[in-house]
Amino acid sequence: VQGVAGGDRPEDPSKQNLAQVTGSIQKTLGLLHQLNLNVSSFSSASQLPLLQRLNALVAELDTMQKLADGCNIQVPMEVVNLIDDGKNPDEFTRDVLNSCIAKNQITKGKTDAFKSLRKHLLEELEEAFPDDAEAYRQIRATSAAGSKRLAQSQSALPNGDAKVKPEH
Amino acid sequence: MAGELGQQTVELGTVARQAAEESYLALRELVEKSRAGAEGEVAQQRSDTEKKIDLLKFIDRTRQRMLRLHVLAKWCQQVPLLHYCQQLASTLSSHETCFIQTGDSLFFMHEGLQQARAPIFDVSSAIEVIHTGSYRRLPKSVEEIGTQNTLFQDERKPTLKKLSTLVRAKLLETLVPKEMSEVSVTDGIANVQVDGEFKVLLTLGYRGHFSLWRILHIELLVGENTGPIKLEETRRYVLGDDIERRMAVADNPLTILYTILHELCISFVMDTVIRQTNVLRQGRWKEAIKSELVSDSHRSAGQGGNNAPTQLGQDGELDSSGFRIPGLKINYWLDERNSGSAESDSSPFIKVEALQDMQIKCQHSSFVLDPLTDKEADLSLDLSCIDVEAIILKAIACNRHTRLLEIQRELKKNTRISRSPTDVVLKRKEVHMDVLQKRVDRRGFENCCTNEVLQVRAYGKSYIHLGINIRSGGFLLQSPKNILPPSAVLDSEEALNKRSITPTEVFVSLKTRSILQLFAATGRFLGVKVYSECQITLKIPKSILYGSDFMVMGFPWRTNAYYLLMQLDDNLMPVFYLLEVHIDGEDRSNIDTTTDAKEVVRFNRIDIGQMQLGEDECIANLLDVEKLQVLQSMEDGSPGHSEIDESLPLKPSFSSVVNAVLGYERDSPSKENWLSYSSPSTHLSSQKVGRQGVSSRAGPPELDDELLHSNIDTAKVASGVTLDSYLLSNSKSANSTETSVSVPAGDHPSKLSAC
Repeated sequence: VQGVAGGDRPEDPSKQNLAQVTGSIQKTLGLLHQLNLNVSSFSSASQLPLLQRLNALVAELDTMQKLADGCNIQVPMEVVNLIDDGKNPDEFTRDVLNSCIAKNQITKGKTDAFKSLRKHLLEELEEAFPDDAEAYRQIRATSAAGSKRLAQSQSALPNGDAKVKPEH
Repeated sequence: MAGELGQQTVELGTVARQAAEESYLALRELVEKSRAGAEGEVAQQRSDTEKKIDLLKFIDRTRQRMLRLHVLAKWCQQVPLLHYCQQLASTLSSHETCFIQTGDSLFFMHEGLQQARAPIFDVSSAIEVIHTGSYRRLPKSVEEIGTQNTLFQDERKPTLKKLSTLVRAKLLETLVPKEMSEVSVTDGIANVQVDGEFKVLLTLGYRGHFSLWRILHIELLVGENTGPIKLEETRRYVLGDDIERRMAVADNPLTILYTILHELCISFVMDTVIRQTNVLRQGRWKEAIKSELVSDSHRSAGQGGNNAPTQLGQDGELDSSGFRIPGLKINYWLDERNSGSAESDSSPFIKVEALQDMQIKCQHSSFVLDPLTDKEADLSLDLSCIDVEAIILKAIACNRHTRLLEIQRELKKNTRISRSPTDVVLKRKEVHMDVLQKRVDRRGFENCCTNEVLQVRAYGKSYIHLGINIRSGGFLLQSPKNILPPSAVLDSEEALNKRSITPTEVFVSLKTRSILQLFAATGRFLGVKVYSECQITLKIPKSILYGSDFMVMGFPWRTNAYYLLMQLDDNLMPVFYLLEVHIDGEDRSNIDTTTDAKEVVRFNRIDIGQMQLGEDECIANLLDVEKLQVLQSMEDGSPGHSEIDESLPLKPSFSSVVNAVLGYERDSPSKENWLSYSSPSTHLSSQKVGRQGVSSRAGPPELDDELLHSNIDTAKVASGVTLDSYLLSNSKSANSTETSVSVPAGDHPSKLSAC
């Protein structure tokens, strides 16, 4: 995940919101745990704390609800299903990543094929039409230099060095 | 996958809210329940335990819910990552689409490039138009319209000359197979010929390529006596096309041409040979020849008139993928050595087959000599005029010659048969013999017309002829009737064909019998009775017999007491024995009563070398006086006896008599010479032979008219009367002529009778 400093801002609230919601849930969990303890080892003395806790629980639930209104993160159904099934939702993430990688490889292969075709074609052209090929090369070189400059100006690093992408 | 995966989403907030709500509601429910319990009847009041349990349940459920929610919330921290991946995926998809579009556009560009090419200009026509102002030939693409393009007349000659030069050049650089006997070029056409096989006319220009050959004409030169085989038009074209195509791709086009056409010719030839053989087998040579197809994996046999089922090999047919041109094996003289066994391989055969080098070769099964050249017979097939019958006949003639030659050699080694170079002679006769096959006209083939026979001398100028039957290969014996009885000849022939006796033995036996027959004839002429086997049975002691051929002659004026046994010894010299037999009335104990055979009591060899001829009127026996005396005592007494006298003056010897007869020097010119070899006893059958007539009669009165002597008193026998030299000593006289004694009829009224 590319962490760019400036770009976080719009996300921040949602993140915060998420964090809040998570916190609320955690609190609820804690309360429930305590309630559980209370109930299971109930005695007449623990009536009051029980009620207190119950109230706290309800309050927390309410908080959670309110917080949840601000949360608009979309969760894929697969993840929910996974959790319901008791599996790890990270599996979903993993699948997505893998498919991405595979697609990338395929496209890379195609790219390479086209590159070799271009190379071969240029060689043949040079043989058949040397003048035309030379002219082409010059045009290409000019335009490449131009686009390189453009790219460099756009992708300059903070310390002024240019990011160089290997040119074919 | 990312696209598929992240499609349905749900808001986290919603989930949380709902979770909270449910928990709250569950709690409220509990509360309601407990309150209702409390407000209600005492009986419905839930006990504390129950309340506890409910509460615990609620807590548990809520906790679960919360836990899950918590997990979800935690997971939501990865959402940005997920978004990024999805972005990447979409980028990749767009790249892919781009690539597909690129590929398509490249393909279309390729099509477009074709049309961007520069057009082909017909430069040659353009030049022609520029130079000459017009064009002679339409562009090649117009050719498809179908108009025929021929050269103008004035162009023809130089073009043909150029073409001839081209063809010659091409021939020089191409490898010409050595079997091609004639290669010539005229008017641009190469005439390639293989003698006796085929002739092809070639030129250049197969489908416009000037380095490839085109076939204009194919002609086959193989054929029968009706002429060469004709190739049909369509077949010729198809064949020509196929050969052209192959020549175009081959390195050695002429070699290919030769191979294909040669194989075709060879197949034709073999087909013709097989067909002709089949015709012969069913026609003239039925049952006389047998033919068999010979090939690698299997044989199929056809015989005589019936067709045996053909045996098929693994491939099932003769012309399968491993096709070889079949050869033919023709067996002739089938009766030979066919002694019960089904094996027919012992009869001689001719094999006609195409060998590895695809040349047809005719081979004979055994070594045979050609009578015309005296070398090994060369059976070759004339391809332009295939005639199987000629080959068969030639082979048969050579085989016959070889066999007769072998027998001749064998006979020449034997001194009993061959004493002079002309005794055993291989002769070629122009005249055909009846016993041999009917002569068929054959142009220019002498062997058929001349029937070879082996001529073996019997005696004098009489010969026995041994020939070989062309159809069956069996021996044929022939002799003039007067020297041998036909039955003897046939028996000998049969025995010879069965191979039960050798030719040497046959000829010795026949010669013996002929000589004995001559004696018999002479004896008959002289009045002696010649006994054949069935007429008399004598038990002759084996010690005096030389063989089984002998002659017994009896004296009819004596009552079967004496017999003359005549046979030939190992040197074919006559040997005489006088046999005395006891007859009825005499000592019966000597007669074998069980059989009728008369037993020989005494025998005496008569040595004709020492025989003396009686002279003057007296009938002298030519035997030992001593012997005569012995016999005399046994005689009944006959007037003739008295004429035997010891006081005969010097008796001339037998040989001197003969000399006199033959005109040689005589001992005593005045003596009359008698010749008699049939009178051991008193019957003095003497044939007076001499220059002068003999006046006195001689002989007992009981002599019958069969005898000559009574009439020969005045006979003048010319000196031409001779006896055959074999009767004398060892061939003293070389010119023996007549075999029977004859008396010139003009001088005397003698009656000649031959019993």
